[in-house]
Amino acid sequence: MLDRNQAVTEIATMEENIYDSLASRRLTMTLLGVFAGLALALASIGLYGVMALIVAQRTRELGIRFALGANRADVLRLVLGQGAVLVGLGLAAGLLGAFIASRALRSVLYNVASLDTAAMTGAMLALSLVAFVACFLPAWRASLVDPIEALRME
Amino acid sequence: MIKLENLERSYPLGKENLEIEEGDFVSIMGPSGAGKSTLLHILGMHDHGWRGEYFLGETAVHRLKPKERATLRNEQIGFVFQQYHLLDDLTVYENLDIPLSYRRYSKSERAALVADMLDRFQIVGKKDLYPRQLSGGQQQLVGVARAIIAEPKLLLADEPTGNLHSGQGEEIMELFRKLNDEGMTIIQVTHSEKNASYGKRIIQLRDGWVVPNNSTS
Repeated sequence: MLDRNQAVTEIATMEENIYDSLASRRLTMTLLGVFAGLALALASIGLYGVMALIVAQRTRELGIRFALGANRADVLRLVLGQGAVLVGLGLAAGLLGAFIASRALRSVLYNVASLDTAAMTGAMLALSLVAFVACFLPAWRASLVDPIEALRME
Repeated sequence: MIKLENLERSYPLGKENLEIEEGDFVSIMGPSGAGKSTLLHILGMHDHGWRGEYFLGETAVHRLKPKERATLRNEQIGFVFQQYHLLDDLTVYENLDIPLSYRRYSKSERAALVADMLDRFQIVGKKDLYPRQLSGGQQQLVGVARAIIAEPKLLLADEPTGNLHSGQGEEIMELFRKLNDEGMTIIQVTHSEKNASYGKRIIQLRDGWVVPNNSTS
């Protein structure tokens, strides 16, 4: 029985009620996404920094290689190859970490596969793309090294 | 083999006219800052900031695009540096292989050429050593071997004995003389009268200009 003398407040549809009830989980998920994005950005900046440092340290060597007959494509390949090794190692370590974490989380998951191949592949592709950009910029700069200036470096 | 006409670079070279015959052994001399190394790097096509005409054989270098110049350089020119400029992280064998790897030789051709060069310079026993494990003279020997491994017609050397003691320097100069006797054109920059005497001709540079009528035989 409803009391007709009571005022009716907070009228909402069932969808709205469900939506509201999930607010805190949604916030957690949003925060998780933001932090994941930040982590990706930091990793990219870190990778860019490492590659830029490697290129700066190898300027003399790249100058010698140019003087010995390397062309821009050769140097680009060399630096990108080195970046690819770093990215490959990072991805392998990340994959292993994800596998271990997913096994640990298996007991608290319901109706969700602990290893989502599609999500994993997507994340690896996205990370590879970002890493490629982070490596390409220093590699491109390396391919523009002036051999004479580089040879003067000690 | 080389002809420069009105070749000009803002600094430190003035307007140069120069002719060097095939098989010549030329020593470029002059005080520091006279433009010797700059001239050598222009001849070696590392430096592109010049105007004028540069003929290497029948090829007008001044009309070539950077990529075409690089191809011509790879085919015809070897370069020896004062500081050796060997790659520290590579062994003697790998250092000798580097120029070949940029000249698209097959793997077996590269192996054969490196083996031949190691044998010719009697450094087979040092092929697995790193540059830091070699003396200055040995490093320069590898530097010369690396410069000629792709069989260039022209060898350019920028003060090749500048960091060596006299005995090692003589060894390198004797090697240059031998290469020249075998037909290789050599142009070296040197401060040493003694080293210059190994050549057939001396070109004096002063303040970026070739001093005329200064030749010895």
